Amino acid sequence: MKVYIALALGGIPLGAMYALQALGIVIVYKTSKVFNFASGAIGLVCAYFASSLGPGGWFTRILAVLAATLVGLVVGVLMELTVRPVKGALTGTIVTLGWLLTLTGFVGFVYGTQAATHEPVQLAGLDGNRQAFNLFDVLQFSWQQLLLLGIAGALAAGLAAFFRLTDLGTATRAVSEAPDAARLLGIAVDRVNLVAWGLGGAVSGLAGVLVAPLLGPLDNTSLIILTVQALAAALVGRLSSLPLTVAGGIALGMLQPVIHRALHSFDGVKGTDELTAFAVVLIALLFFKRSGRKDVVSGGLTPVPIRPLPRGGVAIASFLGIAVAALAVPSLVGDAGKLTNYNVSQVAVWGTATLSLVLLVGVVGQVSVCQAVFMGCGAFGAGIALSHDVPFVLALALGGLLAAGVAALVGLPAIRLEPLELAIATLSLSFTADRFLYSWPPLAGENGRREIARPGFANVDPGHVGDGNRAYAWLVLGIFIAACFAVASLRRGRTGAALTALRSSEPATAAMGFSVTSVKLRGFAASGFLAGVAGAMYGGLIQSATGAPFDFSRSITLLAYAVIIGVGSVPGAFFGGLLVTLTTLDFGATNGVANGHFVSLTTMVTGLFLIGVLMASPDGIAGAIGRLQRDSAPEAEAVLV
Amino acid sequence: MSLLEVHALQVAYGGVVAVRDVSLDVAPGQVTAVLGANGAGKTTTLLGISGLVRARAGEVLFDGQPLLGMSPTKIARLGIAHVPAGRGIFPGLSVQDNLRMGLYGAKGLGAEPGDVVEEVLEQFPILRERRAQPAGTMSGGQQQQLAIGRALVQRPRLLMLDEMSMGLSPRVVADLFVLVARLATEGMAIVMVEQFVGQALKIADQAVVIEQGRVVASGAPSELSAEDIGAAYLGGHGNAAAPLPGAPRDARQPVVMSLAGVDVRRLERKAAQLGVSPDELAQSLLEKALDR
Amino acid sequence: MLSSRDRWLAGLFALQLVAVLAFGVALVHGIGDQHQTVTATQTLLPQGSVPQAGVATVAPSTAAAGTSGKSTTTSTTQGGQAATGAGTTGTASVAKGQPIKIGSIVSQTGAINFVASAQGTKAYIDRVNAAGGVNGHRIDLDLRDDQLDATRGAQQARQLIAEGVFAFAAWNAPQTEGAIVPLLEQNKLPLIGNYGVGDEYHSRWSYPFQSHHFGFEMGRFLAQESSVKHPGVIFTSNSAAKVNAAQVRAFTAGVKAGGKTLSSGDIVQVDVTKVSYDDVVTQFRLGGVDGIATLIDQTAYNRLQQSMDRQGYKPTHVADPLFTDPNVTQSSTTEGTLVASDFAATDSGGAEVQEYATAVRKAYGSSAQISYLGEAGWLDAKILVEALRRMGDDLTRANLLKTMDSLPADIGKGFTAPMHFGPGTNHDLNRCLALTKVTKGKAQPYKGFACDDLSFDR
Repeated sequence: MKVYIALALGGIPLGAMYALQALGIVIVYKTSKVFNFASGAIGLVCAYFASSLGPGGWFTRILAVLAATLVGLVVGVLMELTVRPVKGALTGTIVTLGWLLTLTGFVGFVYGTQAATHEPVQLAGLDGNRQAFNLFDVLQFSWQQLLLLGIAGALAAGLAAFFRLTDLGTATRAVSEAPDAARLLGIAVDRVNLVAWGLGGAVSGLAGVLVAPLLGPLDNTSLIILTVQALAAALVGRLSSLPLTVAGGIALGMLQPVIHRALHSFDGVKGTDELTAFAVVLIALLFFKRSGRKDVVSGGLTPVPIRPLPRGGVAIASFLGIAVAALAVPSLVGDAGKLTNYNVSQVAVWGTATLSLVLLVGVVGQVSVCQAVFMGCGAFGAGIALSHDVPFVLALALGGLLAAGVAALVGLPAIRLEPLELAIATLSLSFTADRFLYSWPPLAGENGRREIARPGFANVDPGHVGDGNRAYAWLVLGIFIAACFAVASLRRGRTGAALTALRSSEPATAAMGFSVTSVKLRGFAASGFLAGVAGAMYGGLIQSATGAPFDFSRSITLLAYAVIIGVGSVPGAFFGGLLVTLTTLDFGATNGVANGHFVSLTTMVTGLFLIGVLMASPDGIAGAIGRLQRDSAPEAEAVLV
Repeated sequence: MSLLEVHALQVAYGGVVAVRDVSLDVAPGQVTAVLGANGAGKTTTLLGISGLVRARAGEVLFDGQPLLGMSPTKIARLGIAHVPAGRGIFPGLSVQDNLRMGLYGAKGLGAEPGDVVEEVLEQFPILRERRAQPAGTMSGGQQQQLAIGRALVQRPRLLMLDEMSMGLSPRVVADLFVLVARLATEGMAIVMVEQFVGQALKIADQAVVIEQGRVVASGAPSELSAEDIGAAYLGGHGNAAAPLPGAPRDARQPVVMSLAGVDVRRLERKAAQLGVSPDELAQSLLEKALDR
Repeated sequence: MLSSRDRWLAGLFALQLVAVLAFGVALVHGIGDQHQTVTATQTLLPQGSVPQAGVATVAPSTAAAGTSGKSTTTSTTQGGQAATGAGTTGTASVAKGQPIKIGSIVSQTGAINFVASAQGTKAYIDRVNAAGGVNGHRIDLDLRDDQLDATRGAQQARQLIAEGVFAFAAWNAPQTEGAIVPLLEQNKLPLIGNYGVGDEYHSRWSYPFQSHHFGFEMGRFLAQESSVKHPGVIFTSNSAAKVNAAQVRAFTAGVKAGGKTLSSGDIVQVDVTKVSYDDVVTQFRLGGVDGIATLIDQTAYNRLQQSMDRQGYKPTHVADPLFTDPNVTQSSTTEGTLVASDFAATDSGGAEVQEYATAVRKAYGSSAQISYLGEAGWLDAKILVEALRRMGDDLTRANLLKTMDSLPADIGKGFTAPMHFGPGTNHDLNRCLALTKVTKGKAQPYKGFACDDLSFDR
């Protein structure tokens, strides 16, 4: 049909947008095998920077674009410097996640977080939105769109030539495949990396400036959200071929409107654009092979083993003491004032969520940037159970089970994916779930919200009027403590041994008769269960299950906090819960810092912390403390015969 | 007059000391064979010399110039070429590009472009045939030739080869050894870490046997006793845990470990010290856990 | 089996937990005390602006907070029990002479910008207080910014309750509102004036003045334009499938009532994050759609307009009130757009609307934001105050509900068509829209309020 053709053709500029953003990602990956999650954020910073240079004649505009690209270059170079001391591509990728937070927070802090307060610089001028040409009524582009297409194409061609033909370009490819061998040849690997990251940053920045005018007045989130589509395009290009990346981006841009139109008659389907991108991401990850990297001297993100809970009478006594003290807190804290049982419950809820990450990342060794999705499933699951008159605590467990199922599904392709690829896939899933899953009637109900009533809690709580906040705080605290205990005890026993061996060597584990697949899946399911229970507990706290609290930014911050504190630390889960609670507290306008600024500042500081911690100590603060403890403790006994 | 002097080299990875005390001297035109069991510290010695791993103590002099603390890039440009175990070629790049990279890295040496690559291709006709082919698709022997050729492009004065013969057929290995011998006669100093003891000793001017990070025997091949060489394989100088490469499992001593609530990472480090591979450690842990 | 190392580890473990707990408590308490004084003034100014000399401020109520025991507004006691009557259910009544504490949540920063609403509410309340309050009671407005974060908003709502608000009012926080109806019901807390999400239109305790379904009236207006033969509709889909389905039905029925037919293929639901509207415009253009009704947000309008300009597509266009929001770029191509609104237009509304605009401009000077949402915030406050005034000295929540239900139909005078809640659970009362036409960048009156009586099933 003519319409479908027109839709597809009309999607070309959209695809060029994706492709341009993706180019920055691919350039960086080609050299350092690190996936730059902050590519969209660099574009954001540069777009705002360009706009702050003001409108003007063509000369001013070109200058603004060039200056913004320069900013992108500088940011890229800075990023390389923070990634360089970090061991392993996966850890490097998490560093870029930290940069995503830092840059987004920076933009919010400096330019404000209100949407549409800044006009983007349109390189094609004020008339840039006029129609440039019209082909049979089916193909119509504006000047700005043409410019975008032209630059994307030229960049791809130019860069491809650079990588293929020049010595420096070839060196970047060599460095990515075998950096140590390159060093042995006398190639200045660090300098090559700097060039590549600078180039990648500049391209990402340019992408942001060129794409922004097509999105209307500037806002903080649109360019970031484009990241998923850029991801898909980059993966189609197998993260190495620039022309293929452009082709992939354009193909995606053409595909999305077609699918949106094709599915429009199905009412329940939302977020088809993200779904399409996610499908492409999955297919590309599973079927398009990417080349790996060989290090002579190995270094990578080895998941930190969980420190076992100390054994012996003293340890048990102290643990019990802590548990009792913790459970006493709700009695001390009232329901009024700045700190209420609501906050205490929040700490337990988000602590459990962090714990689920500790389990997944620390023990099983898989990286998930979609933990909040599991939480959402758990919340909705509990809502579904409660609507069938299931007792409250059982409903929590059922919510957890639903989440476990979803997590296992997510874990299935994880078997075939390396941790970095899994991070990419789970990030895409987060974006998709925000649009699609949380408004899917079978899960979220007809109203996008499920009731989570908790009757009877007030009755359980002697002498305390109200809606049973204190009793609820006891419940969730108890669940959290029990979960901590369970995860910490995992180290002992069969499963623990299997997981430890799994991290040391998969073949050996397999040789012992454990199915590697089964162990990993069980790890995912267990992590999903915990996250689901946490989500259900949150739903019980606000007595509603909606998708809003469980969006992609929550997934990112959960992971960030977990890594900062240390994914190997079970007590660290408590800190994680505390961090989330503190950052969602309303401090009013404290000390002259207005609200919007406070949040941006928090985001920026979190990002900087994440970067700093990874550079200094990959297993987080807890790991650093742990190493301090270990180094000063007497030699342990290991009997080797 | 030595081109390369190594005194009391000590190299460690984190907490694990892989090389405790290694010394050797290499003169131009001399072939030095470095022998020893898996995990004895041979590769680490080379890595310490070429700078990829920072040495903890000791001294390395190249033509009188101290190398310790220098970056591997600088060391390479001084005229030391290290072909690592596993060859270290760039699989996605073509043969031609691989060689070009050798040139690119040697820029500091002022090597003449163009002709050098052609010269090397002369020496390796198989590579010349496949100059446009991605290096990763070639056979092991061809890759090894490429790796050596790439090193030769830099016209090094010292060539270090790590496990050159690994995974290659005897015929190919023989050809390579001939090549190495010829390079030596042309004045290049060569240090080769080898498992093929027999072949290595045939072309070596001197041999060094390393065990648990120390030199336990050294001298001209004729001076080394059969026990010394045998010990290199069996690690018979007091350690029962070093496995014989390729030997059937039950020929080795069982490794039993107690778990005594000990940190596994520490266990891994200790095991590495004793030359127990991660595979074995994992297996023992499992066995213990399952009480088999 | 006990080693000194084990002991040390256990001790450290315990210490970590205790230290963090103590730190957290101290932090929260330490910061909390400053909250009371500054909230009312500083959360309202747009980012980056400096407080204007002309900003009307509410005198800080710290002095009043500690005096009375019964109608306490805040409890800053160290983790102790709340004063009698307050606790989790807030203040169900206000004693004579005591300030009436009102809690409000508006999404001011974050991805959307409803600052105008906060300004409108604040300006009205300030004016009332300046004139001596309502029946001698001052109104303490505690206005928070949820930053479009549902977790933060939920937290803020509970905090407001814990601090003893008498009622909620003048909310405009779409993300947070989705989940608070159970909170209202449980605490028997009225919410007077809100953005309106889902169940808020059915709850006994929630009184939204903004219309729930624009669809019927917009569809009818569109169909009544003679230039329109083939209508199309674009609206942002909601997370509640039921609401979307109802909106579709509303549009279809409205167009039918206007004498034309809307086919389902010409109804496009879009996601709020939709990047480019080129495909929608292409579809309509090639399909021969010559009139569109749109129910989307400001960012979407900018993008839609861009696509329409690019493709040279100029149908008859009936848009929702966000079309004339200051954040939507107006140009020669937006001339002639019809805007359907449940409130009178800011540019051309009567004396009441002008009163709002003047008050806000006086209060905020150059950082004043006059818009549809500002009207909503102002009107919410106005209706609340009117209800409070009628309650006299019987300031209880039960009486508030009763009074709201019996307010006369012209409570929204000058802003909306007559609307009347009445007893019962139907709180979806505002079903009237008026039409204005964008002329020289301003919205001029075009058609008066038209209402629908059909009750669309949610």
